[in-house]
Amino acid sequence: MPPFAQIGDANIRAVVEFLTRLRNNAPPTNASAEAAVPGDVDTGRTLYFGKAQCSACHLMQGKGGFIARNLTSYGRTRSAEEILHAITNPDTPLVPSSQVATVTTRTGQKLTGPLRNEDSFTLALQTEDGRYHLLSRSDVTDIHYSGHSLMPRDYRTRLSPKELNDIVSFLIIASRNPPPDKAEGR
Amino acid sequence: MTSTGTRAAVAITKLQSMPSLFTRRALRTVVTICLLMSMRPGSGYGQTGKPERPPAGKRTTTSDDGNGLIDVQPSDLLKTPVTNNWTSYNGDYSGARHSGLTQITRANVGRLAAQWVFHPRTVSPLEVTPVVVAGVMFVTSANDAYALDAKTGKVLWHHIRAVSQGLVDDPAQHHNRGVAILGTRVYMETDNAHLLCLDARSGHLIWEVAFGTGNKNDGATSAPLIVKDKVVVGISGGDAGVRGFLAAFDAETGEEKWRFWTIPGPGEKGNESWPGDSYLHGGGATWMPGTYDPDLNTLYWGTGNPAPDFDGSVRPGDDLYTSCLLALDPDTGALKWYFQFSPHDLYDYDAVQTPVIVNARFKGQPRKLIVTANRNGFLYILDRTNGKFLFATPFMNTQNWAKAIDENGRPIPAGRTPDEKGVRVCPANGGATNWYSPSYDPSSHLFYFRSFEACAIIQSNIKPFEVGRTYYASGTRSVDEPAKAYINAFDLNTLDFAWRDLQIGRNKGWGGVMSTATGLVAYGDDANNFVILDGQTGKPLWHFHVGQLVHASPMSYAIDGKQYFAIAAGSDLFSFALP
Repeated sequence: MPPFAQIGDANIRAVVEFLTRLRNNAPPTNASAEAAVPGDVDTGRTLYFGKAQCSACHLMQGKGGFIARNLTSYGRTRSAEEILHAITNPDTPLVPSSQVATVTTRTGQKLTGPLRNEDSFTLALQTEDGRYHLLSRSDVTDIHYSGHSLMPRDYRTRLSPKELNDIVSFLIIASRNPPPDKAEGR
Repeated sequence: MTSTGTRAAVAITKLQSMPSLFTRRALRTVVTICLLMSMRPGSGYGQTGKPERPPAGKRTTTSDDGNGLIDVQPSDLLKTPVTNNWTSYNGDYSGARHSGLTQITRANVGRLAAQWVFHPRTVSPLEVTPVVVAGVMFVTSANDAYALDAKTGKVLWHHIRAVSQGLVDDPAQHHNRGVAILGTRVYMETDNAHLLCLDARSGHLIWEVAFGTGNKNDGATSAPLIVKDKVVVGISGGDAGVRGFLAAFDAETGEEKWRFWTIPGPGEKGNESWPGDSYLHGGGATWMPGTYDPDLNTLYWGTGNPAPDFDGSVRPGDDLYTSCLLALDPDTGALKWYFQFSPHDLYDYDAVQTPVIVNARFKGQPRKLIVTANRNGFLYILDRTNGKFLFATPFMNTQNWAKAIDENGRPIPAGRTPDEKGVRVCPANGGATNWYSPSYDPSSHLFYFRSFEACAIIQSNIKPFEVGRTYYASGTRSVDEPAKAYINAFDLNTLDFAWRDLQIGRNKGWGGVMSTATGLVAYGDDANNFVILDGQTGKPLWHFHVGQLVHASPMSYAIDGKQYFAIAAGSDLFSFALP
């Protein structure tokens, strides 16, 4: 990567703005598959907010949990196959800030949750109640890395192939139709 | 000088005849600490102010002990002064930007040391004041929001949002001054005037509302303000011909609850200044957070200049409600009273400087006051129960736009009307002060603020409003005169300056001030230093060279018994504490 200082701060900012716009406004890459989603969207929505318990951890269009990633635009740039694979093979790859660890403190307290960050001196672990535990290494006697996120690893057996396809379809279609901006058109 | 015989008129004479009053430093160091005369704001004041730490092994459910649990209740926002948590842009609702923390004192401040630096990379200079709750710090940079471990500066989450294209004037710089927080949610405004509701535990977007009018010149740079169950937001773009307003949204759902237009429409009081459809482009932006008195259930919010800035011929009369302080019912948005600092402003004298809520004796009587140093070069004291003018004094040696302030608080113009050739006006359009924060120490009754001494040639011509363009109706030229900047301490007991500290540097600093219960005043100076001085004398006690322009206002917080100061400088955020 070459140094870009020579192009100047204004140009560097312009490039950063361009890249962040690309990231935020990326067009759906699976739009051509709109007519060919593998399942039923409405059933997928019901499963998502019900039996499959996705919404317990994931936010979707402002509804749901906070401990896992926001899925509002997740299906926007992913194929049905990719999404199905992510549901049935979680943690491939394991996002570092999603890895669950169990930390034992010097007072004997055991804390379990995603390890949001760590370095040689400190670590930040978030328990499922949302609380951030901001710890110094010197206050920690043991850390057990689970190698997994909080994502259940048994969806292939908990849900039928049709149900999985329904959820995949819901994720794709919902991401193409974000909730309307409440003040647009005023 | 007129014969109005007002206190302010006398003060002008005094100021101009006593140049020695404004020599470099600590001109009067005796400050009467008049605790017996004070009316302490809020029930929280008078606590020890020491960083509060829960007993070992005990976990509470509050968010005030650095325990990482973010759940801010409306009652938490009433605490004054703030201690461990810094829960809004100005700390507490009073706008005093005064911390009750007492760990860092005159005796030990010399040992203060940098703890960490956070570099968000998206905008410079940062203008944010961080909000801290339960050891988690919330910061904005352009349209991005971050949660940081306030002990280390490390990122817990990052909400990414692209900056907007095609904006005009200030919002096009993508500055953002921070978040508001309630429950488990944080709220921020975006450069294109959207209100975002994020989950404070994850940074995930819960809802988003576009609160502008559809005018492409709309923008936002402020931090929102939470009042009870509502999020109050203001609009930027007063120099681009927006129609200013304040709007309140349901914090849970994002539903708009009320909107107060600062430029009256047809049939409304004050519309006589806005012929035809000019009210749609009259300015009066609301681009800084206001303050709130829960006892009076009143929201105080300053409004910006009229538009076009320098051509007053198209907006005859006083141009309500520009360059005003508004007192509103926060439940309905109804106007209770207003006070206009600069009627028919011709010089870009916004009145968005923090209207600080002060409970103190005024001329021997306990009063509920608003104290504010205005961009027009006068410091004002108002009765906040009714908006009655009580006092004004100039704080700029070279002020020339007003002959005096009359007994009702109305300026007597000196007749300097901008034209095509231009007129020399002091203060310059940048103001004798600006949005950078003031501070008030309720124990000493000293009101601190940054001031700026500069003049400009202001020109005017007739120009129609255009979408996508600024609406100054001509411009300004600098004058070949050295500018000066001061940090000021104004004593509410004596109604005079306790000291003024002339800034040494390039006079480009835009750093606000804050104070602490140990008598310290913190600010960014004009030589890229973060400075802490003795609030009673103005004597500098400690500094750290941040190496970048300070264009923000400081704050203080505590975690696990340790007090910190934080300040944004250039493109970085710094935190300091004792070793």
